[in-house]
Amino acid sequence: METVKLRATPAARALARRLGVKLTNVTGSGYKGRIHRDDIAGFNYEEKIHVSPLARRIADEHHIELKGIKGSGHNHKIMKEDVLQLIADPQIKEMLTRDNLAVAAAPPKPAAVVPQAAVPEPSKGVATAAAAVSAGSSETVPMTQMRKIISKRMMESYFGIPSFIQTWEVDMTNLLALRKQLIEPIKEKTGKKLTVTDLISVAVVKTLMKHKQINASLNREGTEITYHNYVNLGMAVGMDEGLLVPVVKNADRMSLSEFVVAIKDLTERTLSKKLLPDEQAGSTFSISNLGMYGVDEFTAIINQPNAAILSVASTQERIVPVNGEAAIRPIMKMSLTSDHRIIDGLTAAKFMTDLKALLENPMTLLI
Amino acid sequence: MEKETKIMSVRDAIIMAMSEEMRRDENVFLMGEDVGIFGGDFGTSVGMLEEFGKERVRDTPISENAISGAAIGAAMTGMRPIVDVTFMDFIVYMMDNIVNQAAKTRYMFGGKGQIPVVFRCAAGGGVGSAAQHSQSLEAWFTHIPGLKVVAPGTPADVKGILKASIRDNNPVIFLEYKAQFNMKGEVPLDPDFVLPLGKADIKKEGKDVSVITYGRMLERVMQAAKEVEETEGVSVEVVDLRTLKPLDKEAVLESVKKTGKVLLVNDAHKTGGFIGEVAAMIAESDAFDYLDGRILRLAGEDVPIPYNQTLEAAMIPSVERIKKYILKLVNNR
Amino acid sequence: MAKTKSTKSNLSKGKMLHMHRLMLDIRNFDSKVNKLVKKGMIPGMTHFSIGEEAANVGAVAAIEKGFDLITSNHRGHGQSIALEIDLNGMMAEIMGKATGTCKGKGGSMHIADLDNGNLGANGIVGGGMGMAIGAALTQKMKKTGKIVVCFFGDGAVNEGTFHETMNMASIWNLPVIFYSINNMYGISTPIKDVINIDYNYQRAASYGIPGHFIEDGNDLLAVYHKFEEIVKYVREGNGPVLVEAVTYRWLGHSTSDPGKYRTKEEVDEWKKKDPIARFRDYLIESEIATAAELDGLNDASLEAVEESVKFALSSPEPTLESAFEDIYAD
Repeated sequence: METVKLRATPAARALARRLGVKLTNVTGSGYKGRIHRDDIAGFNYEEKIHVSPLARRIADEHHIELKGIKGSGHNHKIMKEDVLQLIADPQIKEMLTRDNLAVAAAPPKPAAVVPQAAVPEPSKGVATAAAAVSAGSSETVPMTQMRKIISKRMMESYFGIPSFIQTWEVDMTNLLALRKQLIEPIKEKTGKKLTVTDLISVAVVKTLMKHKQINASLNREGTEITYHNYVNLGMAVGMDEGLLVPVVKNADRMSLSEFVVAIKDLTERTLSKKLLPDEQAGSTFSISNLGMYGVDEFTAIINQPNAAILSVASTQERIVPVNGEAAIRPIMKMSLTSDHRIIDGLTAAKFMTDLKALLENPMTLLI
Repeated sequence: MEKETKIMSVRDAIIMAMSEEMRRDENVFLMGEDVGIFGGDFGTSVGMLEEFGKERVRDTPISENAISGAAIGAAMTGMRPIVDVTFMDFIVYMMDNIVNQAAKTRYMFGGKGQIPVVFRCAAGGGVGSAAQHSQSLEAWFTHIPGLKVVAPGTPADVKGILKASIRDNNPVIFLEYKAQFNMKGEVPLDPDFVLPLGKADIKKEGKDVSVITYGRMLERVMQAAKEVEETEGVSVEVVDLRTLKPLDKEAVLESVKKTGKVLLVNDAHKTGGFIGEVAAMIAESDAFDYLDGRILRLAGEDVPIPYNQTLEAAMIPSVERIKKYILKLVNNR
Repeated sequence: MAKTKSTKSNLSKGKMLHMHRLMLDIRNFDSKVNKLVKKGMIPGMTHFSIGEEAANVGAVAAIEKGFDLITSNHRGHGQSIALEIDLNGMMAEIMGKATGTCKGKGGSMHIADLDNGNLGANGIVGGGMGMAIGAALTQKMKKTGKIVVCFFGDGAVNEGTFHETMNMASIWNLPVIFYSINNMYGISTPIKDVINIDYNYQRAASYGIPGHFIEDGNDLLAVYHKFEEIVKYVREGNGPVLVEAVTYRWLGHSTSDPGKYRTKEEVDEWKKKDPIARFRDYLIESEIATAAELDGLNDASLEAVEESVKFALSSPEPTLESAFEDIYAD
């Protein structure tokens, strides 16, 4: 095997070592491709957590999120004692328990190097890489760590939770009008653009505060329900690598402008991979919005340990009866996926009724 | 209340420093060629003959060897002479006395005796004096154990460091820059204002790159740092060494660890220049792991200083080139 | 064999015996060191004053010990011993021990005794000249009344520093005696090959200062009385003086010198003019001292030298840390 000597600064090498990043994965921004410290910092999304195998196993068993934890071992390596300590304290444990689909500790075996595998082996006689992939051939790529975790979480949620779905239609006329009115003032106040999603989210938050059973969490064993008197709203953000759900904490205490600023900031930082660990944990309810992609309707999988998740589809012009006459209205479908262990049909229906009402008469948002 | 500082030139700061020390301690005296009625080759002792008389402001024949030898002998027996070398190039005539006698005597005598003497050297070019009158030879002296070497870059630092050098009980090579005798700055008037030797000064704090320099180049580095911040938003930290030997290693390494990027600037020739020593010191220290780029040096070209003014200016780091090197580092070149 | 005539003097017996003893010390000490070098017990180079005892002792005897100052050169044993340096410390220093006068860090060429006015031997030919005029300048500025004797050889006179320092001493009227001990050879070059005048003392005229000549530098009292005269002159503030004494070194330039540039005949001729033997004869003939007394002095001297060797041999080596000390004054 050929060993290529990499150009990398001492600071870059030190950081790569610390974060467990393979230099061969990183593209350097320096002279002749030299890797600098910022290249490592920017690259590293799949943070390898420095943890002993035993500690890792214990953490996995208890579904403890280790990202951001500094252990007592050499170079802050997380040791068994550290994990046991975390588990022993119920509050800490609650905080660290994974409720996030995408970001979690890596499984013990390091993932295969993706970039190299992504480039197919040039067969002998083929001149350029451009000619490598021809029609009829396939590309096999091992799962990235991130995707593996998403997959694991999805399975757990899908197979672990007895869920049911309710789909409701909402007339968005008034909401869209309100949005038009608010765009300028919000822009002036925050410098940000108000979106329909923002308004829907705020409506959801308001409604949640009146429906405790929806804004609830169920523990792993399924033995305890926690009702929250605050709303930490998880907003699913899709990226090429996978799904992330940043959380707007205490959304119930925010004004519309504050919410707009918060969500924009979180989304930006999610996309630029600068999200902090505790910004992905602790949600009490989640929203998944595929409206911008023109999806009619869809259902999302519950983001554990939430009790439910709302999927928001696109708003489309449809012919609907209004006061006995045909009218063209912007209609949006939204679906609530609920955990039937704590939410029953009636509870879900009541929540969706109120939500629908609020969305169709959004002026009451101001109350 | 008396005003605490005053704007004055490097030249005036030198006169003030020497005069204050001579008033304070009767053993301090000045000797050199044309220091008396002429007021020094660069006007750095104007007025002193009138105040202190010709015993203590002593004109000498053109005998660098005897001048340096006499200074050392006097220092060894209780006096505290200041030698005006004038052009630093002439210190070459004094090498035996400085290197073989002054630097080593205390050591060879097992700790007996001390040689408190200051050799003031007008260093550097930029005044059209050509090759034999424009050298900065500090590197040679940093190589010799037993000597201290200082090179302040602002009028206030000149005053504080010169006073400290005079009060130091060791032979000190003091660099003053011909091109900067007229440079003005705020100087404290307190006669007890003394700066410590062996301590660098962070002239400007920053976080993107460390520029380490001293003496004449400090002014240009500060200018470059200011401009590069305004136009490119680069935050430059300027470390002014002030004392070359003993070097303030902690200050240098702290800055390197902070920014990870280092540019060293001096006007002396690049090969064998003092910044090479600092670069090596950084590379072998534990700050190495924090380096996020090459250690760059920007120094005078390895040529005797030419007479033509344009050529001469091109042989020494300019503000433009300093900026260019800063940006090189920042852009990971 | 004709006896060379020695100067007569009215000095006290005590003083004369004292001077004789010092000459014996120089002879015995350097002879001993020579033996030790041959045994491999002393590293580096040593330069012996054997044969030049009168030139050294006579001069030093005329100054005030503990008051006046001297600077010495690489052939400084004679001057240091004449100034009555502690022989133990000196031998220890030559052996590089921690108890040496310079803590073992200077060696033979840098023996010094600052407290007693010995500003040190110097490894650089002419290196002491600048220091001497500087020291003299201090005495002048502080009006201490002290004078400085600057010892050097015949070769040093050709160094640029000789010219510069003589000139400066002259224009500033400094209280310094420039003393050239002319043993007629640099290392291997005879003096006649390197100067175009008869003797170096004649150069004094170029600087407007008096030049004195001691033709027979092995005549202790001649040296002494000449120095008595010039010390008085200088101490009275008349400015510097150049004085030259002709003598001969019995051994090579340094320990590593087989001496091919001199004939055996020449060396033997000079050995006949042995300054110690001559002074001994003078003392006995003038009935100032008996042979027994003088032998007694020699025994005491030999004993003192043996003592110093014992002291040095039993002294500890300097520690590794000491190599990093005393570089700077606080």
